[in-house]
Amino acid sequence: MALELQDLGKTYGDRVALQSVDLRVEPGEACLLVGPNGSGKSTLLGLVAGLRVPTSGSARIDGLPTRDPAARVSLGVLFERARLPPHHSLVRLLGALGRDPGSLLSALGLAEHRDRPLGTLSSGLHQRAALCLALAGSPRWIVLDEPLTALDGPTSEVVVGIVAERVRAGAGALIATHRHDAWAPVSTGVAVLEGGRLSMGARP
Amino acid sequence: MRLAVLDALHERVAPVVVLAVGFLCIGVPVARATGMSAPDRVVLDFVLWWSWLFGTLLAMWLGSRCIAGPLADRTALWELGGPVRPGVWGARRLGGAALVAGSAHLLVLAVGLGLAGPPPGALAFAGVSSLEVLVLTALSAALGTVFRPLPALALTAALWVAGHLAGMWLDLMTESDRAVFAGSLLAVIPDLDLLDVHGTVVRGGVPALPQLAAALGWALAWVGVAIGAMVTVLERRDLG
Repeated sequence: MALELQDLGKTYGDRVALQSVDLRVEPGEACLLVGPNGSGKSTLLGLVAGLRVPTSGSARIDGLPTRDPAARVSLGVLFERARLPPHHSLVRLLGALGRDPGSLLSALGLAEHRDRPLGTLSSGLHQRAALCLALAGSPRWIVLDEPLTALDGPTSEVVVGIVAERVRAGAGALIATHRHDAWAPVSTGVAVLEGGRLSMGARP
Repeated sequence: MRLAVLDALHERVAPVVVLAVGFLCIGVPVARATGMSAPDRVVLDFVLWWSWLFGTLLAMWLGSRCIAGPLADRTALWELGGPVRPGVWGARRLGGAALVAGSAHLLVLAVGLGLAGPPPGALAFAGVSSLEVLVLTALSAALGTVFRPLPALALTAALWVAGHLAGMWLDLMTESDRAVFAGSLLAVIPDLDLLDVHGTVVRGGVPALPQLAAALGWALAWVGVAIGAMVTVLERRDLG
């Protein structure tokens, strides 16, 4: 049971986005993925989420390729700059996913916005709604791309606290961020991506 | 599927249907008044023509938006990051768009036939024109897996025009001894004239069963090809 990348590579035409990336995250671990802009963080998370097709190597969750929907049943993902359908409400999208938000709505300050069309939310509330969708249903694997973008200080602390709680409960997390200081309370390892290569890994 | 239907409905379908019905309500009396010696036939001609045009245009609009739209504006990611095969996601989106386009087309046709008085071949016309709506939705959705919404719409519109000129064009090419070349091009341009029963119905006839069966088989084959291409591309391409 692990989130495992083996010799993972991705090219776009002639451009190499990722090269020979090996990484393993166990349940109960939270690995921060850091690196400069364009280093391949979002590409890596897209591969982990099963949205991109690896050029070489493999990305597996609990032994299953991440393109396999059975692997993604246990995955909660937040994508960078992803938009939620503007005319649906958060409650409707949660219902479509079949995921119970539990106490997330109140913890993220979304209870009074649950029925509003998502297109009417501010960017901060939109990010909270996207986080709520990613974390609802207590997924075993949490993959977040710049989760604190557009969030104020107190809400950022709440989000870090929720993820820390999930990790303590046995979930595994892979978090791409430029704000690794904010994630210090939850981090169990740091992987640094530079030029598409993992120069230092939690468990390379 | 429910979300796909709601997304399709959100593409301003309701006001467009109201406008289409309004145009019928204005057009039918005008057609009747200017119908010379055969006002009923002119009215029927107008109603069938308008409902067909409305249905096919709506099908291309919704089909070109249902896949390409959410991929282009990144609203697809929240769904595709979950436990759904991209191909299944695409098929659901296409189903939702086709259901909405087909229903809107049939609604406008029903209103028009109510105003004109339904002819003997009304049911056959409804069935066959709905098949064209389905074919165009599927083609535009399939093109939307590769192109952005507007290029997908433009390409489907080009296929739509070419598809209705295909028979005439094939005749011309055959006369100039280029039938083989024309035939090979027709393999990728759906001959939409095969779904045209307009003339028969306007003349008070009912299309023959073999013609309807051929239209059904032909349309389902094209829909199958389009869905197959759509699923294949979605399962293999990068989506994020």
